[in-house]
Amino acid sequence: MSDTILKVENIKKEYKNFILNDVSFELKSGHIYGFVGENGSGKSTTMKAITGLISLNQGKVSAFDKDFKELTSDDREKIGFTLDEVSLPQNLKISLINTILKNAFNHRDEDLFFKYLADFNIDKDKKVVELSKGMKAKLNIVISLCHNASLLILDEPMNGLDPIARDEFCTLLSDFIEENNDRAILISSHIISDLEKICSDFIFIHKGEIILEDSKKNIENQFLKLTLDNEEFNSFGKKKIVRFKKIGQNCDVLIENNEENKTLKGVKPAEAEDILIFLIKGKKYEEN
Amino acid sequence: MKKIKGLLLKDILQSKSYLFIYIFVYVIFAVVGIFLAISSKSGTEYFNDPNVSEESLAIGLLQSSILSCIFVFCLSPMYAASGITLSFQQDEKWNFDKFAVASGISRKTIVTEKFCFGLLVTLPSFIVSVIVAIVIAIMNTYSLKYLVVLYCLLINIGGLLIHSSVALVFNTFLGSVKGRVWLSIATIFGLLLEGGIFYFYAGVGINNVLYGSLITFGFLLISIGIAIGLYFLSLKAYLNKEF
Repeated sequence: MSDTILKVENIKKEYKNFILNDVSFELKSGHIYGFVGENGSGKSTTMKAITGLISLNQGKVSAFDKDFKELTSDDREKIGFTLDEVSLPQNLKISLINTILKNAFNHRDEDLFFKYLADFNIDKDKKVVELSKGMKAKLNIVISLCHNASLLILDEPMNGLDPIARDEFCTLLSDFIEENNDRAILISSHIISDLEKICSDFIFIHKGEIILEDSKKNIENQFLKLTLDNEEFNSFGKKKIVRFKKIGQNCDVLIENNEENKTLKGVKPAEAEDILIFLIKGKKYEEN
Repeated sequence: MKKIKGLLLKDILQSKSYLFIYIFVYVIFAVVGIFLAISSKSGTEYFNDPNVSEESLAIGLLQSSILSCIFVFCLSPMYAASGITLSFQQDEKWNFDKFAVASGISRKTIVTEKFCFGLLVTLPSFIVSVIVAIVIAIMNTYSLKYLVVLYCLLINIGGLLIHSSVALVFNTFLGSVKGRVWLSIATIFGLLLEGGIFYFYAGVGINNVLYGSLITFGFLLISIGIAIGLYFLSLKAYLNKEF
């Protein structure tokens, strides 16, 4: 088997007010991919397409070297999916949910489930509805982890979590990959700072199209940023500017990372979050 | 099969919180049915012409008891079918349907489980019909009374199949919210159809075994056909469902 766990090729999905257009990317084992974009950029639609929740107008999804439609039930169980909210009957006790899932999935590791519950201090005798938002998010991910998934697809899993819970969550995901390098995670968020700690790669999506896809290191090595006042901006070599944003009397500028630009006064490394904001909200300089 | 068992378990456990109200409603159905059976017998006896033969009197009593109990025989399956809608509604509310499909439980498994669950929730309704039918049989002296109540129960099974499969098809096609509205409309037609069959059977089938058998087994076969057809229709709808 190749190290590509999931391959998305030119998928297209048309809605009345939104088009997911020609989206392609690959997920390789041993990597955590941050899937980043604004609200409404197409993250959830892409994830739904990957997991078979929606049909496609065009394109192909394959996982574990097989076309998605040819995946067996056992193959499908290797894909763990969580939504931003708990997708379980909330009026039931967690121990009962375990009984249900034990019966509904072929490869469920019950011992691991109870181990995770103990690690996260989740009381198995509580009903789901009685858990805090953070606890629910943890339960959500624990459920995905316990049917021996090789690929986790997590749609905004950290929504509403406090900083401590976010940190625990990040550790859990890192451990998941470290334990077995044949696994991969695709995690979406509109808050990149959450993902910067754990993601090895980023996929940026904007208005239904992938605008950048590369390793975190390569993305951050591609660009530099600096802040100029208006006077400096006007005299700055415009050809150097990839994107710029005017903020009051100043102007933030994204420039390419090359030997010449590195020597500029005040230049700083651009982090993934800065780059995304520049690419989405920044303007291209057009000489006219 | 294992996955269906797991999903059935979920639906049963989820329905537990509604168990008390379900039992209460079915007890009401049973009590009303028994009351209607007894009162229709007393009424028919009171107005009876003394010149009518004992056999004819017994047939008349059976007819009036069954006609009175159409209310229970028909409304109880309708109520039973609401169990499926409730189960769909809960899955949509908690996003369990999305989770299940995305986690590798096939759409066919989900529809098949709902179909099975639909049949399961009609069991209490059938038990109520059995109780009412037994009361009717005990009170009557007609020589073929057990055959008659057996046929009534078979017609009732047909009704249960139709109600539960119609509920399935509306929920898979339209979701639980829109499905509930259309199901209410369809239920009225279901009630009229099932009530009509009972009425027809009571009128011409009770004292004629051949007609009675034709009506009963004809309706049962048609019901089975409708249920199977609607199952496949539901499957088709669910396979194309977008979450």
